[in-house]
Amino acid sequence: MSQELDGFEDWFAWEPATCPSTGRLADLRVLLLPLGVDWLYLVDGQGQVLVVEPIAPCPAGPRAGHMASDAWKEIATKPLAVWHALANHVGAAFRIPLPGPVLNLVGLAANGSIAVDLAPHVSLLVGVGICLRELDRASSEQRVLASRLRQTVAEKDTLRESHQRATAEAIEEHENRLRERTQYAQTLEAEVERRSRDLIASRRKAEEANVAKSQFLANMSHEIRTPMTAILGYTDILLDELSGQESSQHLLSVIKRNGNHLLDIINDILDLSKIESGQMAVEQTECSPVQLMREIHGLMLVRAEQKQLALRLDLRGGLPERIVTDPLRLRQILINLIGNAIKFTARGSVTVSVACERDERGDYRLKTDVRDSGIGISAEQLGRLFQPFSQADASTTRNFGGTGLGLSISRRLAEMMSGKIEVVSQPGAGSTFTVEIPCGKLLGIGWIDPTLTAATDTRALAPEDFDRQELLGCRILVVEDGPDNQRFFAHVLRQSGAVVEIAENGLHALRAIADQAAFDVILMDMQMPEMDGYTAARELRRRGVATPIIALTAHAMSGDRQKCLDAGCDDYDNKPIERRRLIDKISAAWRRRANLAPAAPAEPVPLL
Amino acid sequence: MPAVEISPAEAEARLARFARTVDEISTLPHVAMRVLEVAQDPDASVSQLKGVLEQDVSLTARVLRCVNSSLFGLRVKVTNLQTAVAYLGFNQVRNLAVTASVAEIFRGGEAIGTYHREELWKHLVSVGICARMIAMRQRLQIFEDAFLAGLLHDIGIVLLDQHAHTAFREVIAALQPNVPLVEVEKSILGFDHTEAGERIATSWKFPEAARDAIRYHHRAGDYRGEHGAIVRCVELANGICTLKGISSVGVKLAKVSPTTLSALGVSREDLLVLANDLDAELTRSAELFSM
Repeated sequence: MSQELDGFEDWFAWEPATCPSTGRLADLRVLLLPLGVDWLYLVDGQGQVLVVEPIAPCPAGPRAGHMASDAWKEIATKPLAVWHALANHVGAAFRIPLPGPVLNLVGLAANGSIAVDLAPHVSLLVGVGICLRELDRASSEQRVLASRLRQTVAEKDTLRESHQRATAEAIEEHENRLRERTQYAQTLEAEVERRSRDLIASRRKAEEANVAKSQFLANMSHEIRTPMTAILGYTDILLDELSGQESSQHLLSVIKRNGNHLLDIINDILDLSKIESGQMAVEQTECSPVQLMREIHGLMLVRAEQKQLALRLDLRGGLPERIVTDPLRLRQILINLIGNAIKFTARGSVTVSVACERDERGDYRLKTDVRDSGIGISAEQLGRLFQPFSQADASTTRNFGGTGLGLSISRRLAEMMSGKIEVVSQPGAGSTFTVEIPCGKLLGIGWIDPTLTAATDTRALAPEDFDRQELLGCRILVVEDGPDNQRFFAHVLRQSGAVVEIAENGLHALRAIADQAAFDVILMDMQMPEMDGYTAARELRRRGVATPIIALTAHAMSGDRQKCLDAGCDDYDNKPIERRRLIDKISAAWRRRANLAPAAPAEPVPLL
Repeated sequence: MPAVEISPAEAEARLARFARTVDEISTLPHVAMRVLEVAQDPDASVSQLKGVLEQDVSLTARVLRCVNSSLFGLRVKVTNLQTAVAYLGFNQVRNLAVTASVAEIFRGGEAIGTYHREELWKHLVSVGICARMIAMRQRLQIFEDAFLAGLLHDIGIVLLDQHAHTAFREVIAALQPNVPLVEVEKSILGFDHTEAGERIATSWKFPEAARDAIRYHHRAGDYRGEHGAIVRCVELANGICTLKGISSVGVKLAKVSPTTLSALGVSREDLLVLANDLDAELTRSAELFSM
């Protein structure tokens, strides 16, 4: 093996060579040294040196290469007798059988002379030599193998350890990353949660603010409508008194028109506020759809005629005699839709078609189409048509006026009545708004064919005449805290022939009605200082006073109406006061009282 | 050989002058310096190494080619350094990067007698591989550092070739079979390649172990620093490679100090086994030589 790496023996010069056969060679030395043998040569028949073994501790002198081959030939063939005795010793010492080939074994002295002739016993010695060599080589190979094994194991161990460390580091690194990610995710989650909480909180705050705003507006309803009542009422009075004085009348009619316009806007805003603050409730009352539609038609006809538009009412097929719905709200919706149709139509017509259709569940729905030949609505405008505070076009407000709240109020009202409003329109080709309101199963309700009954209601068109002294002799107690409204009621009622007395509040009213026969009708404002209308009405009824009480409130809500009736009032009217309606209500109550019959209806008088 | 002895002061002056020259010209590619810098930063990240290597597209390509060679026997094709690090570990990829970048300065140059840069490069890679093998068999976990130290141990020679070319030619011409290279260098230059290499290693901020191996790879017995194990591995590896005929300047003269052999516990048989196994290791690492 040493051929593979020459030269390194020098590196180990400091270290004595050790090999396992050294001990046995020592034995051989013991035999050969006394014979003067310094070198042991194994030579074949041709004089080739096969093995050279030093016998003396540090032999100098001849080596194979230093001798002429002739000399070797001589040695190789020369019999040497001295070996004879050695053979026995060696054979006994190593117990080795003699190998076959006959070779010469030569012991040389340091000076090159042949010390002993080993020829006779050459076979034995050859055997010994070969064995020693083999042993030596075997043990050397064994040590190399052991070294290789040791090195390989060490290398594998190192690699494995390195891999384990790298793996452990990688795992730790990954775990750290995972931990970081997890922490980050948790941070994110916490952040998301925090932001969600903030959002919810701020949304709640915004909603609360919105509700508070609506609440405020709803509560201001009374405050706002009361002065409007006075303004418009007094304008009416002045219009009456100044009849004939053209210029003043013109000025006043401008005031009135603008006052009414302002009132419309205020009503819209207040209505939306009520809806948004949840104060708006719908009620379920019986009413006649035919009568309702004709009334609305009559009311809107005036406006249509002002613009020289035809307003057609088309009552198709059979309509039920009565349906259960909230007629006040239905009316509000239709007035808004028809009003819009008239507003946005320059020429042509507006058609209101009413039909009662049955759905697959057997429920009936009152379906009203309001079709106009107006400017129409673009697809883009349709999208936000029902959004509050967004008229189809910002310029619409300038061109057509209005708050733009009407449609969103209408849609919300329709939804509150479990109905819906839909619209089909094309710019330039007009629009059709459809209102659908459920009106139940209609069991046992009669059906009428509207075409067979009178098609117009002229009442709304008749000129108002307040000088008919309809309330002549009627004694009325007006319970009202506002001096403006006190004077307004007094004026209006006295003009109609009534005898009017004023009470500042509920307490004053109780005092005034000590005598139960003193008044025919009591007009009672519900919001008053000291004692409000509800308390006063209840107290009067408790004392057995049966005089009809007509409640006046600024809260146009069904809940209020019920509250008034619960307190013992007979009827109810909204501020601002319309003279015609008020006088009709008073007159009705008065007559009912006068003709008091045992069969008087227990249900409240319909408002419409 | 000059008849006049060079005084220590003169030798030091010459060495300093030489180091300055090398510093000024800085033949080590910028990328190689950056790689070495990142390589010895214990906090260096994979992405940092990646960032440096990406400045030299061909360098990255060579590293990846080596990663995908039979040397590592990966069963997947690695197409980026990140993955290479995942499979081979940071140190191994770092070494490939250093090897590939240092290889640059061994290109070209004509043969001078028994010396040729390509042969020197072959010697360096072999000593690196052998030092790594010895370290592993010594159960040293820093075996990749041993590779790096082995790879760089004779950097001084190539620098002499490039920056003191005339004198270096003289040295090569004066070489004798029984006289160590350092003695010839000292007599002609006043300093030897281990001293020159150490100076440059310091100013180029080589890893300490590599610097010490450069300085002491012919006399590890004199070394007292903390990188003794690596220095000894390099000395033995240098001896084995030289005896196997893979020598630095073509002279097959190598002596390994007894302290190294006894410190490493290497016997004759161990040496035979190492020398024998090295052949397979070198064949396996063929890709490294052609970087």
